[in-house]
Amino acid sequence: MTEWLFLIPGFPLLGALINALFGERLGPRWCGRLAATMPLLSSLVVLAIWLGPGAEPALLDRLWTWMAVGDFRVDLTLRVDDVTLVMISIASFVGFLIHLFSQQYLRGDYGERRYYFYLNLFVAGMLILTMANNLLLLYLGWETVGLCSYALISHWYREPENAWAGRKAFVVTRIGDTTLLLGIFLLFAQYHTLSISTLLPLVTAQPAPALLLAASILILIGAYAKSAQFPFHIWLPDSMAGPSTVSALIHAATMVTAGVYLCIRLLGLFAAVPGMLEAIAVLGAWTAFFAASCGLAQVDVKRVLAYSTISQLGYMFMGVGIGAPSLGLFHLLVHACFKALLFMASGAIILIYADDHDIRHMGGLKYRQPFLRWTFLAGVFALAAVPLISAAFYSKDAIINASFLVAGGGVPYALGLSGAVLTAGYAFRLYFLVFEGKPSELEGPYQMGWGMKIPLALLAAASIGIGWLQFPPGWPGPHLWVHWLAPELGLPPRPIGLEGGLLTLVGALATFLGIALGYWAARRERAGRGLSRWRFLASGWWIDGTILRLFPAPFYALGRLLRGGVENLGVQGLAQGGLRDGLRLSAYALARGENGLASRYAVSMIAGLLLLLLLIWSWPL
Amino acid sequence: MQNALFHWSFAIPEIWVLAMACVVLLVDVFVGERQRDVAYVLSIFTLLAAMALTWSQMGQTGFAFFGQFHLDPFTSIASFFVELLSLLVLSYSRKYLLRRSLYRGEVFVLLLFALLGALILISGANLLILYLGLELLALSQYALVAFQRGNLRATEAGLKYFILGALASALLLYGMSLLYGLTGTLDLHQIAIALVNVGSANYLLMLAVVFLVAGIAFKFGAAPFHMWLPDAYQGAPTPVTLFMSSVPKIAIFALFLRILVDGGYGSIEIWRQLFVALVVVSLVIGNVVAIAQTNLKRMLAYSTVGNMGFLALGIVAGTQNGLASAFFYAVVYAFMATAAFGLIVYLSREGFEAEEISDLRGLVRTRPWAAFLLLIIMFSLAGVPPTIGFYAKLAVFQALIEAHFIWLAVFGVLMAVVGAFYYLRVLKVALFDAPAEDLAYGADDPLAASVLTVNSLALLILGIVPGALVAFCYHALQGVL
Repeated sequence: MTEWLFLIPGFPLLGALINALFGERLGPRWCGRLAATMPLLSSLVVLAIWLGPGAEPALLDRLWTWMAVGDFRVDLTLRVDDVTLVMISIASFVGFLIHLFSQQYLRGDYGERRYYFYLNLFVAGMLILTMANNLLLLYLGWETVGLCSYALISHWYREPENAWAGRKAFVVTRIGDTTLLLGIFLLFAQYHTLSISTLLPLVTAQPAPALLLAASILILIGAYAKSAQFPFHIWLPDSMAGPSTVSALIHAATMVTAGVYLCIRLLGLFAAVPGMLEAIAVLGAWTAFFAASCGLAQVDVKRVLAYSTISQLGYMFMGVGIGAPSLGLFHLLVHACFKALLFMASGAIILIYADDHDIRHMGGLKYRQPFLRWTFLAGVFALAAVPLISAAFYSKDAIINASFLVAGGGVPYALGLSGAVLTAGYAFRLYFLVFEGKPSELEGPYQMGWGMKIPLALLAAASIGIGWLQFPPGWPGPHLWVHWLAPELGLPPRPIGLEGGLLTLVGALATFLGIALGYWAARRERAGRGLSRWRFLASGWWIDGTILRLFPAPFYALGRLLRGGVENLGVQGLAQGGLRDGLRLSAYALARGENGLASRYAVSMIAGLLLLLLLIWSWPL
Repeated sequence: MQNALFHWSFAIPEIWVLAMACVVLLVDVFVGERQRDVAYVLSIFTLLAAMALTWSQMGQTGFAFFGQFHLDPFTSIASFFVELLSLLVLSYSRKYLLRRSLYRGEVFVLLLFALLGALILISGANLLILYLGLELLALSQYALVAFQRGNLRATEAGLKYFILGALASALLLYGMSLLYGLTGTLDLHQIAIALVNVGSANYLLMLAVVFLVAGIAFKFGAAPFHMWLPDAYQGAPTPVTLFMSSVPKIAIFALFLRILVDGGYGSIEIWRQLFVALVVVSLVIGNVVAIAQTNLKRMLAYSTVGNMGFLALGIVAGTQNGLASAFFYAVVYAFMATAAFGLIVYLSREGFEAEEISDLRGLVRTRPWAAFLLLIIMFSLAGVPPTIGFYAKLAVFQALIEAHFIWLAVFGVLMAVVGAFYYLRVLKVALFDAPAEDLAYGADDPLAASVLTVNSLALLILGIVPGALVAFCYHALQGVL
């Protein structure tokens, strides 16, 4: 089995290659079909791992040594353990569903071939990222998904705002990419290896506190930028300029979870730095709360979901931070299902309303689109963590409850719980505004084909049912998840008995409180007095504007200053007159010296000889 | 004594090439104009068989012909590469030669003789043998450059190359005679032993090494002995340029290795300093002057000068690792140059050489696949990862830093940045400029197309999976020191 691991990222990579080279001849329809087949093939290989050997012990596939210079050695090794298995299942299977959905969703659009090329490349990059056992290979995947994210956000590049949004996403995540790379450099400088499986034992065996602190902070910034965590979250709401399918795949199910995955993968590193995990927990809970509050005031259907993604990722980080990484991973899986569903459904909603994103203009969609309504409702249930019948009840509430048990968990618990109220609030506000009430006259006819319905139905089923893998402790029913991951991630703290019951009850109450909040918010919004008028929340606590004013704006000002002053006066004269023209002039002068006269060539050779003689004679021996 | 034996079997590939060159010459006399393919196919067969023979010798070591002929891993591996490169040259150029009525037996014979010279250079263990090999290689090339007798530019290039080449040979010969006078022997291993007693502070030895290095630098095309190179590259028919930019680079590296490492390693402190000077001048001249070129072949000629500078960085390091990286660089460069000139050969047709940079305008629109290959080739020449060109530069710089030449390495990296400019400019013209209507490329030779594809993709694939080639090249230099 292990020698076939390369096929998992190999298939989408092949698809991208074929589309890039021969896509023109295939035509857009076949480009799409080919692109959709590739993640399906990958997920079949993943399925074979599930059914066959499993990933315990971890499967290793050493492809080849990319380079070996001195002690710098990069082995391209793929590694699949249980955690990776979860990630690659999401990336390949959810990836396939989104490819399938795209077939109808994007038909007749411009740049279909480009879209499918980048989508396949993205899936390949994501699979490489998750399967890499070498930090450099991981970084390769990390950069690939970043590039594809940029290209796909700007997919409809003919509108300048979309290109701007792509650029913003790229630049912000780029900061994180750079710090991640610096962190990798630091680790290599200390431990002389880039292989994760050799590195982590070394980190525990020979700790170097100062360096580990620096490296883990740098890597954490990388993870935060990729996963859109406070204060690097500013790119994600703008990234909604891309097609909804892209948001579903990249900005919900896979790429943004890469930061969480990185933290789980390098847990040994973060655990070796005192106080690090606690900080991650508090920051995660804070992001969860903060983004949920912003979600309440958004009017763009996709921006609601974008803030929701930021918030849900915060819960995952919180899970990792409080020592419950297996619950964080569980929520990652659950979130991938319901958020991909919500994004794809919102894509359909936007098409129905003729490209209008504003939820205040919508309403009563349940009458004409019952299928869309029920699947969307399943996603909303999961997002709001409705007790018993939604998956997030078993994952998100488990994280919040676990945080109550750990030392210093008070702040995360309080933030997490209030975040849960807000989450249910914005989720149901969105649902009530779009699907309930009187039908809007903007609504157009739209017939979803089976290619759109099947993914939605599958993901809706998963959003409801996947939580039943892991019931709270003491409940009848399966308890598969945490025990299955225990050998790798350990058992998370979980409340039992009366305490457990009370905490679960409090969580359920929070959800119902949130639903009431959502109903109230929707009614006010209908009446034109909604939370969206509250600029503080709608602008995301003014953070985006503040950051833009603090960092890029001074640079622009400095740039204008330099262009107006220094550039015109000094650099144009010096650098152009000096360096560039100097290079060019010397190039032409030297070239003219070689004017084709053989005698002159001979003379220059003799001169060269004399030069060498002079050199050697003047050299002290 | 072991090495006094007359082990003629060690020289089977050389003997085979010599015999077959004569056969091709004879056959060519008797076949008519129509059956010229016979000579061509026979030459191809000769090269394939020579590769097989060389391969079968892999792993054997020893001396033959009374110590004048040396078989070691380096001999086998370097010979294999020059034979492979000659094969590439022939497969690229059939259509080109046909179209210009150059498709004649003499070309094949001269090519085989040049190859024979290169093979002798690689396996010689005696100053006289080395000199014979060098002259055989050089004379064949003079004739090849000037082969288009009617073409003024070609004859001029050939004559210049001949005059300057003779001067360089004289320098080299003078260095050899000084070395002989100093040690009393022509045998490189005897020279190595004798030099232990001489010591590197000997003025006569310095003089000898200066002349030897000057001669070698000329043959490499390192500045300031590079003047012949752009004229010869531009004037020669492109397949000949193709040959000149690939096979001799490896052969001359062998010449350096035999004389100054096998024989003269005792004088490393002397020749290392000389190579530092050559590196600096070559990197500057090669990379800066190339900027001013509008002719692709001339630009690539200056690129050769610059690349010989990078190669010599490994020589300056002088360690086992450094020499191995230099050999690796030579091999990689040879394959990059074949691809680059092969592309020119492929695109040209009668009356159109595709040798101006502006001839490639908008290539991506008219010939997307060729433009893609051009992209790989130029990235590889500029040393952009993940191409093999990146890896070659990395290996050289790594060896250099290991030998504590930090500043030279920094200088080299800076010059690589300057170099990237003119490689990328070619890409800019080919990928972003609007195609000209009046340009029609040849590009109809399926053999050249497939060889070009394999050759260029190899640059990319070997950059992703460099392990085997690196191991192969480093193995060649095992035990040289």
